[in-house]
Amino acid sequence: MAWLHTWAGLIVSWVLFAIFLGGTLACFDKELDYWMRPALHQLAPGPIAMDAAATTLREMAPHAETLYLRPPSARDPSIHGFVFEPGKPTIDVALNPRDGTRIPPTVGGNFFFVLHYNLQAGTPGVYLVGLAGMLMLLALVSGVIIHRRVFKDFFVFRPQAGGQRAWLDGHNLTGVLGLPFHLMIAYTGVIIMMSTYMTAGVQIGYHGDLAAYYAALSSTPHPVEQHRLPSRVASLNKILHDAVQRLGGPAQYLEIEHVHDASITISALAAGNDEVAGGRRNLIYDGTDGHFRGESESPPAAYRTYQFLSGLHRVQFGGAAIRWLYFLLGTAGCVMLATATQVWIEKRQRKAEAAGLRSGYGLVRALNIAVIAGMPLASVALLWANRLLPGNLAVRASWEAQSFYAVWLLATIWAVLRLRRGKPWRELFGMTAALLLALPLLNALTEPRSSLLASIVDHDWVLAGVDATALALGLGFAWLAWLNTRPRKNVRRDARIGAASASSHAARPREKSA
Amino acid sequence: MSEIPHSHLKRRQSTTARFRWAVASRTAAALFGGYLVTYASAALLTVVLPMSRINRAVTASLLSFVVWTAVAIWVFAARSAWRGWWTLLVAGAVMLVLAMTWRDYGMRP
Repeated sequence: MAWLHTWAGLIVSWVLFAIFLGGTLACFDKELDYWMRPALHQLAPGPIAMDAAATTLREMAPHAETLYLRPPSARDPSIHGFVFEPGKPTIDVALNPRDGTRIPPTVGGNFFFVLHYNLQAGTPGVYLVGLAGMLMLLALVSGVIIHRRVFKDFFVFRPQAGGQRAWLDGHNLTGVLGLPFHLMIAYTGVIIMMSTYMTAGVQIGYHGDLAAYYAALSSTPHPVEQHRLPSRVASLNKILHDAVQRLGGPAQYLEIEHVHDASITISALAAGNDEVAGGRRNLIYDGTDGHFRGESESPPAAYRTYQFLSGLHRVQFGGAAIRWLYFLLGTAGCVMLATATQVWIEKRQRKAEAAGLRSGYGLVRALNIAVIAGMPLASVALLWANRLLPGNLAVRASWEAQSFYAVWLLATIWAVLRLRRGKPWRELFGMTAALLLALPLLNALTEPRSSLLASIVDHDWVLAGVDATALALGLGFAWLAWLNTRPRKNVRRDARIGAASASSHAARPREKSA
Repeated sequence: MSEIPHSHLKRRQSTTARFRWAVASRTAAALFGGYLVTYASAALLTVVLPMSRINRAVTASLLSFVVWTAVAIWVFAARSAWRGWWTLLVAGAVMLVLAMTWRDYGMRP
């Protein structure tokens, strides 16, 4: 079983690290969205312009049958418009909640969310992430089987032993600490996209008719088309107001169906922020005169179970405290994966040195540095690009994304070039620390009204939280850079001692199982 | 493919080509054979579970990834890669044939 753990863990460690880091950052996607849209900071109080937002969205997608509008929430003051038209790129646009106009585009914190579920690579990316998630589930379950001394391992950490011993202790510590969380995250992560890659239920139960399957999942019947234009369109502002009253809480979004037909129907889904599975109640309104038609039935029990499981993963419930918990456990996951690759690499060091340059070992080491130290640097660079690119630039969002990739590529080149002569770990961690620590300064210089000081004065804790977290993470990366300043010679000597004790230590359980 | 019994697995041998092929074969079996068994089990469960159609389809899909995990781990514990392969292929084929045979029953509401 030990070999399954090593292999399943190894092949995908880098991909998983990217997924994990993206997911960890996506815990605060809406907060980052908000930070990256200075147009939304210090909004004057006033009514929410849902109708104006719908007009903007209709102009952007004149032929769309269905529009979605997400009203402002405690985490994000913008109105979000979504349009999903087959064969066309998805529209996901942030609108000013006061007048419904578009605000300067940005990839926002959503970039990390998309990176997390498809590596920014569309449907093939969904398959790859699903496979990586499945291998993570395997690595975790087989990991539990081989680590029979899970409890004891948790209290063993010998950083002084240096080298492989310390890395393996660190891997076991963060692995055991986060184990229940990681098991949950792996399983729920794989099932979220199950209708993409596990289609047996649809093939057998619905003869492959995906539309019929989705219709059975949603308990809201679709309106019957009347083939004439609506005489008038009801006020979304009034419908939202009424829905909030009836739900006794916020609405997640308004769905406007059959936009150009007399059968126009508007439904309001409850946000359900106090439920793991999210909102269940769905209110239906007539889209012409806005009268309340009734509530749709509860979703099927199995689908509600699916919603609960995916809700556990997507963490839209329970507020900031639980998101911080996920953020910290996600960070532990990143450390577990980083130490896993490090154990693998240290283990092969002597053998590779004997084999010489052609073993490809140097490239593996450089790529490992590029992934683990390069991706955090690229992520911070994205935030820098957001503040440095001019606000009126039409291609602003894609330039932001490209600066992320460009910095990651540069970090990779840096790791390859500096591997022999320099200290790429320290240098990249150091750069990340510098960019993070300087982020509040950059923010204050480019958007003075959104600075850390101004947001504290305004009691805007979401905005202040991003700057403060950047400072805290900057200190963390500075510490990592400092850790890597220890002379390499000592580490190598320690590694040999560590490797010797590790191999004798590792031999024991194998003998037992034999 | 002949196999090295676990008890004889020594460090020295772990780098031999034969060992590597055995690992590759089991990995492929866990991946492709595992997916076949998982897909087939979800298909069969969609037919036989005692609940409504949409609940059968969703429950079968939710359980499928538990099946895959168990199957993949079993492949690495099986006595040989070959044994892992044929067991998965036979089990997958049998379940798939049963699900296809009772397909109409599987579409009951």
